[in-house]
Amino acid sequence: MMRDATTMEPPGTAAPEADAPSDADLIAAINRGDAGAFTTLYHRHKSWVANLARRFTGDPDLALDVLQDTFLYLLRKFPGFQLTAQLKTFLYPAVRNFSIAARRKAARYQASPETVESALASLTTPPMSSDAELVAQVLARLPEDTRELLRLRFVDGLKLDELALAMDLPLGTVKSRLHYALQTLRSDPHTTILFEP
Amino acid sequence: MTDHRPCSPNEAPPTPERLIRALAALAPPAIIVPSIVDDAILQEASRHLRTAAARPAPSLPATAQTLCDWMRRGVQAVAFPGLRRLAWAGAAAGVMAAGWLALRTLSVPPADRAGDFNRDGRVDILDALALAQEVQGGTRLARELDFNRDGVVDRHDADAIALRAVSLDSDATL
Repeated sequence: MMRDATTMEPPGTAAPEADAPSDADLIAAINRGDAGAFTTLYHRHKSWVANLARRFTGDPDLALDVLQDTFLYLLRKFPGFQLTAQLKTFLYPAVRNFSIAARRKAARYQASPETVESALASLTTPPMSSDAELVAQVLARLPEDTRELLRLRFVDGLKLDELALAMDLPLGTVKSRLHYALQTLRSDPHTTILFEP
Repeated sequence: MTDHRPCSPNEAPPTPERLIRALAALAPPAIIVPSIVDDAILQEASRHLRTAAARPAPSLPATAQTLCDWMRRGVQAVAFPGLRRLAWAGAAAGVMAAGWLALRTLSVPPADRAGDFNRDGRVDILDALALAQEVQGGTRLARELDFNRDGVVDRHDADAIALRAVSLDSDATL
């Protein structure tokens, strides 16, 4: 079954309930000094931030450091923070930059046995479905930026204009890279089956 | 067959659910954030917001805030990030030019037009209102606007203009 990817709910993302305050409402409350609103905002986005940070750092411990850095960075914007796009669009470049800094910092220290263990644990992935294995083979041939675009679009559910803002790319570039990636998947003999009705 | 319909800004090509599920399955298992991390971040948030509430937030005058909002909305309307930087530069240049013109206008009012704050050729209640708003907004005003000649430009000048404007025996038209 085909569906319009622009209206889908991103898998693995806990969308706020219908009567829950929006991110914009929460940010307005935080600007008024409401710490409870920050708590709600934090719990709504912490998993996404932590998992994104793990994607960038490849290390769950570093990802938790990046999680703290990112939310403290957001916190310092209050009072006076104004949300001009989806919050993920604001958080994405912060997570990316903090992750790069964390990796650089980690590389300066010799790995202790504990960090080696945690790194090995992070490499242990559960068995993938056959579809996922096929997709992984094809994705490996795509540039990292394009793979990241696919993940942000179809796993995290960012819209195209939000992707452009988050990745600081022209909208046309985002569209053409996504089209290229999907076309590659569609034309590859391993993954063309996924496009069949 | 490839679909060549024109796309709206947020339209993506139709994507099979099977592919989306496969992409989602590639993600490693979700990280469980320990409660000690939650507590550290939320305690810092509580402390920061309490401290911030105790001190007055810096605020721009209302007119400047509105101008900033207009600029932000205008720049966000530009679709491409590269052009957006150019739009910010253009907006900033526009504001600087407007500020320079406004300062120039306020600093050299003709002597024979004292009280005609809005420069419409008349001294009326609109001038008093406009001056009162500028005084209230904290705008630095030129000494030539000292309508009552008491040495300062303040709300008393607005009051004096209003009195003159509503007095029946005055010729308010310049």
